[in-house]
Amino acid sequence: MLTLLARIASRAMPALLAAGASTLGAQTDFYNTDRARPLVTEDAVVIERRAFELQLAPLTLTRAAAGAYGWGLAPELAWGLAPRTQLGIALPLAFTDAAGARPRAAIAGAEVELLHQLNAESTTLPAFALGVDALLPVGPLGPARTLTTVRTVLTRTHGWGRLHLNGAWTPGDALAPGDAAVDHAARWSAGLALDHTFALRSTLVGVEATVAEPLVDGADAVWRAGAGLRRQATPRLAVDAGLHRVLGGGSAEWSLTMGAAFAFAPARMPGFPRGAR
Amino acid sequence: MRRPLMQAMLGLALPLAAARAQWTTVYDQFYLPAAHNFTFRREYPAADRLFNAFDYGHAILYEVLWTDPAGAPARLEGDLYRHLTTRVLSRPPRLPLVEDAIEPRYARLAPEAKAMFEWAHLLHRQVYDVLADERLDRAAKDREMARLLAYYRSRPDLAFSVQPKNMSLMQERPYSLAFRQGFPKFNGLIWAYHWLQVGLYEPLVVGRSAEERQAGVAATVARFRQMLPEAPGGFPVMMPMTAAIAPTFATRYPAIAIVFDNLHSMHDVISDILANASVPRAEKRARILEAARAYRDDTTEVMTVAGWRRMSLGMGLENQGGSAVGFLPALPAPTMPRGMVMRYDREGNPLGGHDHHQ
Repeated sequence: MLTLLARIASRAMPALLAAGASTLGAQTDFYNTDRARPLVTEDAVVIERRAFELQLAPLTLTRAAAGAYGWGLAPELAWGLAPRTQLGIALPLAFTDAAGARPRAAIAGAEVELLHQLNAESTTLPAFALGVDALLPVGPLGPARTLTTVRTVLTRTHGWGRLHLNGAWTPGDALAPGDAAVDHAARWSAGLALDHTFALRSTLVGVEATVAEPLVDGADAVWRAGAGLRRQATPRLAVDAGLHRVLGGGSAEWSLTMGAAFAFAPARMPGFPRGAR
Repeated sequence: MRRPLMQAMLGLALPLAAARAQWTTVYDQFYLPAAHNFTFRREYPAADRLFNAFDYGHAILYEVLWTDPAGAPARLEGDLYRHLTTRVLSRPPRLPLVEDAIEPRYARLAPEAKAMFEWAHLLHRQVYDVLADERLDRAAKDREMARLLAYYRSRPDLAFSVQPKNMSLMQERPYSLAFRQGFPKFNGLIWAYHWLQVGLYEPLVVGRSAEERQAGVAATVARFRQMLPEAPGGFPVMMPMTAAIAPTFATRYPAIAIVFDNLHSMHDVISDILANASVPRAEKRARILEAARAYRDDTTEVMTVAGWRRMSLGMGLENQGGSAVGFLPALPAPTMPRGMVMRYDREGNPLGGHDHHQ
């Protein structure tokens, strides 16, 4: 059974990894990029205070070198609970459709994330953010234990666009080779992204390079490259698409991400003055 | 031995002090959620899109003034002015713009001031939504306006004062007038933006039916467009004051009208600080933050509300672009030279013989 799950995970979960696996970090517009929306590397700006953002159909399709396809879906909700601070909850789902195997869908953990932006960018200082997230052992494709990851995000804006630097580290013992999360959990990871905005078209394009060392003893670091686009469709809806490829350290694969983010706030939440309606 | 040590400590302390001066924790906040959200966008799309274009004009102005002070006069009075008036205003963006992407380097210079503008612009947009919502009767609109104002003022770090500020805050500082004197076309365009931004409230409040409001808004937008071909002759020659351009609105919602006048006044102040070469680049941020504090507090250069009304009318409606409703076909003829400074006391009485009546 474990072997079967591991096989499914090995095909499905790289899709989530390419998409950032944990896709928390919602923002309310196209300019404030989220993890995996469209690039794995995100900016250091968190969601507005009191805003909610629902990631609608954040879909990932992965094609492995052997021709196996994996699908990932990671619905999530983020909330700006305090100034420069957001809380997010995600429930990644993984689907596999490998040749010769029965299609399978399963929950691949549950994730809770807190991200705090330390400062707004200024002339001399980039914007910094610190985050911690926990991937809980929920579902057949979830990890065997809670994986806690700390990460840091930096954004620097220039006249031509923005530069983002992300780093993450997961402490604790290495996972067993058969762990369902073995293909997307990383001991450490880093990402560098550049993006450019077409302001009058409310569209952002970006490219990135990432590297991650799997949370398994003896595994090689995996290098990926990606490109993506994010566009504001309506004042409250942003859509995105991204393309990623493994360049080294892992099996050659492509992945495609697509999604939409809807921003809202319940009028009855604390902090909003009550109205007649 | 002691001196090198002191120098080393000073060498460390100075960057730290500089970093501390640049450390800012300003943050964004979601707009007030309500059933009237985006009503104006739905009901008055042509006018709504113009505001997106105005956001672009404001943002590109600051970015150019800050990043290219030497080239700014030629660019802002030449290519960029043409681009704005012939392209952007002709085909305005359908969505609100991300100003950080248009003014990335100005936004880093003064993120606090940028956030103040964005917070006030949200109020602007939400006020249109309330007034455009035909499901709300007058009492309900008044309640919603009060709620908008309360929410706006829940951010004292961003909210402009509801006390009217004397024009001296805008016109009598060491850096004042640089923008209007060096950039007459662009300055006129900004004042025309502000004329429409406050002027559109008037047809929304004086219209007695949805049809009247639609017709009134269309007429006010057409009036704005009438100003463009004759630039800068068709533009206001003085900052449009809400109590003059939209008197019914300003009477019914004086605190909100005052916020918008303070907002528009600070727009000009920042333009002056950025445009005035006598303000060293290293001091521009400090001057902007000083001005921002002065426009947020309830004490600096405050006028009485009656004095604010008197001053607004005393400046001359015809000098501010004229009425937003019930106007004659021709643009009004100003009675004062472009950008003239008129001084008033806190009761709105003219000082120094600058009363416009001739």
